[in-house]
Amino acid sequence: MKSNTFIILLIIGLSSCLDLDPLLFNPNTDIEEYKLDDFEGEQEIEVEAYQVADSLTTTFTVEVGERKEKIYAVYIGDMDSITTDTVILYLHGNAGHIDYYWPRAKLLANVNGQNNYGVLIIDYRGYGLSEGSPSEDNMYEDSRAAVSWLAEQGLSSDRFMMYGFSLGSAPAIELTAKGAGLTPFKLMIESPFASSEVMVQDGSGLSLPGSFFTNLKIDNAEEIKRINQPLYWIHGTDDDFLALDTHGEIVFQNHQGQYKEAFRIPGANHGDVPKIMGYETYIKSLENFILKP
Amino acid sequence: MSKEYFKFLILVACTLGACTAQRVVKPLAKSEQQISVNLGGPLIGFGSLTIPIPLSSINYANGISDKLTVHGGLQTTSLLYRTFQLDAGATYGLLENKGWTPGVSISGSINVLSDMRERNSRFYPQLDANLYWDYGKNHFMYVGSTNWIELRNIKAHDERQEKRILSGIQFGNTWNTDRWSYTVESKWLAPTRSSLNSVVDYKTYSFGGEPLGAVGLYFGIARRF
Repeated sequence: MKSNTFIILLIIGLSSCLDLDPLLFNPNTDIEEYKLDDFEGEQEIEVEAYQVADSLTTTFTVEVGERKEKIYAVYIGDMDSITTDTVILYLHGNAGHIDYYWPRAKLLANVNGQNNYGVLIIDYRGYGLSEGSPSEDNMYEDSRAAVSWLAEQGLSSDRFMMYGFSLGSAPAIELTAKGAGLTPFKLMIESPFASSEVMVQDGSGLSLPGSFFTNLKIDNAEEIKRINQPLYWIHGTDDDFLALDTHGEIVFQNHQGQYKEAFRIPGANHGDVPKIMGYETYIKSLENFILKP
Repeated sequence: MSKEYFKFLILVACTLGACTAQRVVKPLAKSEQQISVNLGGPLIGFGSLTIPIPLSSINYANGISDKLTVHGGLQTTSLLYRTFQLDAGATYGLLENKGWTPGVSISGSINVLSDMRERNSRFYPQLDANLYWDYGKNHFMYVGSTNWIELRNIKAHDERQEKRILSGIQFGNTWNTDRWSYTVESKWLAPTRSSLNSVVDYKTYSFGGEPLGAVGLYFGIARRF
C-alpha cells in the first residue's frame, strides 16, 4: 500500500515539475552595451555595403509592464521628424539581441535610399540589455509599447509598417490583427512559423496538439486571416527550422487581404534569406511593395 | 525562433511518436509476469556527440497463456511535461522458433495520450510483428516492424493528413537469466520519410544524400516473476 502511494505521488510530482515553455525563448544577454556597427559577435548576415548615419541612430529605453521594466530600443532616423516620416517597426527573432539583428535593421533603413524610412528595433524583455523575463505575453506587450512610443512621437497609421522575422512574425501579426493604437498600413513577414502545433506535428509525424508540450498560444496561421493589409511574405525553400511547406505557405495562403506578394527564395535557409536572395534584390523587392499604391 | 531550444521541444515530442522499444517480442509463459524499464530514443547530434534521447518508460506484462501475453506501459518522460501516455495491448505467438525457422509474434496495442494543460487527447492503434530466433543458451534476437495508425483525417489548420501510418523497423537482442532480461534494440523510425529539412538533427541513414527518418537506440531491463 505504501509503495502504491509512493508511486502515485511520484507520478503526480513528475507531472508538474517541468515546464518547457521557458526553454522556447533563447535570449542572449551576454552584452554590457549595444555596439551596433562595432559588434563583433555572431551575426547571420553582414551588410557592410549598407550603412546608416551614426547621427541618425538613437538608443533609448521604454518602460513596460506593471513593474515598469526597461526594454531597449534603437531608432534609425531623425527622431524629430517622426511626425512626418514613414517608419518600419522591426520585430526580431528568438536568438540574440539587437546587435545580432543590426544588419537586418540597416537593410530596412536603406530601402528606397539611405535613411529614407525610419526603423525602430527593440529587444523584448529578457533579451540583450532589456530587463525582465521573456514570455509570449511580454513579447506582445513590449511590441505594443514600441508602437505606443511611435504614436507618442507623432507617427500615424498611414505612415506605419511592421516587419516580423521568425518569432517576430507573431507580434507583427498579432498587433496588426488586433490593433495596438496604430494600425500598420502594410505588413512584412519573413520566415514565419504557422503555430506551435505545426512545429510539434512536423517533429512527431502525428497529428498531436500543441498543448501536449507547450502553453504557447501563438497561432499565426489563424491570426493572419483577420488581416486585410497588403502582405509581403518571404521564405527560404531550404528552411530546415520552419519548413516552407508546413509553416510559411499556410501563413501566406490564409491571408485574406486583397493584395499580397510572395517570395520563395531557392536555396535559402531560415536566417539567410536576404543574403541568398541578394541584398539589392531584397531591398528592391521591399521598395516595390512599399511604394505600390 | 531558437533552433537549439525548440529542438529540445521537438525531441520531447518524439516520445509520442513510436519512439519506444518493443514491449513483448516473445510471449511469456502462462502465469508469468514481467516488469520492465526501457530507456532510449532516436539518435541525435548533441554537440560533437551522437546520443540517444534518454526517453524512459515502465511496463508490465502478464502471460495469459503460453501464446498470449497482455502488457501495458507508461511513458515516464512525458509526465515531466504534463502529458500522460499509456499503452495497453497483447502479444500473440503465432509460431515457435525451430532451428532456422523463426518464431513469429504479432502485437496489437492502443496508445492513449492526454495532456494536463488543455485536456486534449489522442488515440493511436498500434500493430507490430516480429520474427525471433533463439540462440546460445539464453539469447534471442529479433527483427520486426512497428506501425502507429493515424486516425485523424486532418492535421493542424485543417490541412489534409496524407500519411496515415507511422512505421518503424526494429531489430534487437535479448539476454535472459533466470529472472532478469536485458535487451538492446535499434529502430529505424519512419524510414520512408525525408528528414532533410527536419528541425531535429537526427542521425540516421541517408540515401542519395537525403536523410530518412530517425534511428533509435534503446536499452531495456526486465524482471520476471
